Amino acid sequence: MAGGNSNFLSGVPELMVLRLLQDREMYGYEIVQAIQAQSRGTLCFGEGVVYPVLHGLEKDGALKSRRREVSGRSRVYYSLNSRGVRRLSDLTDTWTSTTQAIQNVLKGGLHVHPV
Amino acid sequence: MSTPFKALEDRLLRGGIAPRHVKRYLRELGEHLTDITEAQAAAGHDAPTAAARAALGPDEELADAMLKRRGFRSLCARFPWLVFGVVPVLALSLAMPWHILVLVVLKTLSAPALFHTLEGMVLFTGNFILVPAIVLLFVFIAWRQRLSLAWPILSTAIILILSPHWDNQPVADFPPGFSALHLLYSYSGETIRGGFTPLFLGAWWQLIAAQGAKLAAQYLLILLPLAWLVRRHGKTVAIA
Repeated sequence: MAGGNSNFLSGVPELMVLRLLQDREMYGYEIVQAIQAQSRGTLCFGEGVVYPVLHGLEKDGALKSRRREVSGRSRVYYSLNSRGVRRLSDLTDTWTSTTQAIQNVLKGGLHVHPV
Repeated sequence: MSTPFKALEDRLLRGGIAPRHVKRYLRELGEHLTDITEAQAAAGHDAPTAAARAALGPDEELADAMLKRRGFRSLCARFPWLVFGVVPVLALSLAMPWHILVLVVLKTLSAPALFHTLEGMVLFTGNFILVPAIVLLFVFIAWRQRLSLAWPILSTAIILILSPHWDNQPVADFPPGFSALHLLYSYSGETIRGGFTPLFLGAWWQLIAAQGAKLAAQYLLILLPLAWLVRRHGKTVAIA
């Protein structure tokens, strides 16, 4: 597909994680709960698969992590850094233009006549 | 590593994921599992642990999520020929001068009774500790990353061929046709006369005739880690 969005679907987990972490730092379980709550259970996946996404984003320099002790439990908290903010912005733009394009196709109405 | 993830750990390591990434992944999965278990128990679930493990995702899905990210692969998985074919040569050539230097420094600092003579210590550690330790290192790396047996066999073979046999005979006392690299080191009035002889350089049959027992002990020590790995590998295959 032209326009550089052939990997769009594989970027969806990254987009959701980055968007959630834009508001505050969170740990893996919290992120999964937030995705399930905000998608009203539409998005179903093995909860553990969030960690390769988080670790990959951290490796790319989009996130940073720190281990924190909260209520006697030690957890790894993730937060966005400046590169993550830029990546979120790029992914959001791609998502918006792609979903708009799909909506246009679904609505129909614009008929292109072959020459 | 915690039992619920043993199969997943093996699968990730065999898939070439670096051990540090595997360790971190499994640790966070374990913490996540605890969170789900507590939530399931609080919700009055009959078997919270089983339900929590199911919610975490099947091993296949958890493994695939990691394996598809090439950035998590270890150097050994990406370039095994480099690690097990080239690094042993470098390790041997760098370890020899360093081991003498370390012994000289130790002797200078503490002069323990163990060091009867520096020369004796250099020859002993050179023959019986240094080279087997290098082999052990490569065998450990292969075991830790669940690599094919072919790689540690390659590194051990290279080390066996190149490994020096240290001796303090004067050059004139070596058998005829015998090639040897000689090292003369003088420190505080003590001289180390270490002739170290990679087998490929010399008339190895003459060396065996002259130093048979010592050589056999040296090479046995070199082969022991590999024998352990082969035995362990055989057991793993039998279980699988």
